[in-house]
Amino acid sequence: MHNLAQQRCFNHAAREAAARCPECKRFFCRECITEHEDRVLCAACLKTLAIAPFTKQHVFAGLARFAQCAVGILIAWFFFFLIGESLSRLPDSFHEGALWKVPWTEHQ
Amino acid sequence: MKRARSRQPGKGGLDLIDEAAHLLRGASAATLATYYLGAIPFVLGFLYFWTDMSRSPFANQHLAEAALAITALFIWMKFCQASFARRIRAQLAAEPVPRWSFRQTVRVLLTQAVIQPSGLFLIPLSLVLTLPFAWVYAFYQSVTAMADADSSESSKLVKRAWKQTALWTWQNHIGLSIGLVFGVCVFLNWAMVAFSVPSLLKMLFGVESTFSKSPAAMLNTTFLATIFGLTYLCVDPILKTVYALRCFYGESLQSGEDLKALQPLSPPQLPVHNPARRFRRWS
Repeated sequence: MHNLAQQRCFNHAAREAAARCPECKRFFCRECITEHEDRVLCAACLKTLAIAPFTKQHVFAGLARFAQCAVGILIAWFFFFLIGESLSRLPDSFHEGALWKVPWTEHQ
Repeated sequence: MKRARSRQPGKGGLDLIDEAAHLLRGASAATLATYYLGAIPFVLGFLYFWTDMSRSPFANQHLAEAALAITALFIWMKFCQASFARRIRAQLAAEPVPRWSFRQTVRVLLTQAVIQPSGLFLIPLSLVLTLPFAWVYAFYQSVTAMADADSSESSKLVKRAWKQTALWTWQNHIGLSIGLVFGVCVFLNWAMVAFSVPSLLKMLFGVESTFSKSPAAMLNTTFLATIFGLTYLCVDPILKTVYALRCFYGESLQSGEDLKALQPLSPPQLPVHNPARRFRRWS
């Protein structure tokens, strides 16, 4: 069992250790450590942790984002397609405003 | 503690609109240009699409391509609106506008392309149902207002936007009601202008047209779409600013960004007593 009070910083031999990194098990002074998600880590381990999940999920995240984007574009395209379809099916008398001038009884 | 802060009463709806109007008046030309760079092409493209589909007998032959072009313009408009909201938020925080790298720009564009299209169906649907309209509309406006490089993932942006939507419900309803009434007034104003222009042209310059002969000829769907487009261009920037303000104040409950914005950028320049200067003045 290592006694923290007797340890020195891994990076600065002249400084006494303030904490031990739970990842690499080395001792560090208070300037060489930082808090990350309620754990005290050294800079090197923090860098490794920050990069690792990104590289693992990078390919799938890119594919998922592309698929989501394609679905979004398809939804918007379908909306404008429906509008265009409805407009082209409406009679000319409706677009020209002439529909309202004809008496209702004549429509039937 | 967080719950207590989120229960703090927000600003009134009218105060928020007032602040938004002042903010928009003080906005730089680049900020407004960012908005209209996206909105004007979409409105013009949509009007062309509307006219083409309602008049051309061959419209069905190129309907799919035309709908795809309008979709591209819609996504471009949403991206420009997100960029506009980012500038407004920077103006509020008294900070320089954060620059997006190419990758961040693409991410914001993709995020908007993922979320905003569903609003095309859900906003009209909620309007028909009436009751959920204010929440649905506020959610999509918040998605635009909160789009930044930090929220590059759609799920994170949805969570953040939903959190702001649920905040200060009464303020949202009042602000939206005032915005709708204002929109109706602007719509009527544009309609009156459009009706009076042909008769004014005839009276002042002697220009005779179909519309001056029969003002009823204007009562077609293209006319209504044009007036609606002009109204959108006038009212929407104000509503976007209102929701940018709402999101700014909502997020400030945790970040305290509004307090930082209140602090002066540099200490006030006090007048320096300089006897030599006074001596030069009297000599």
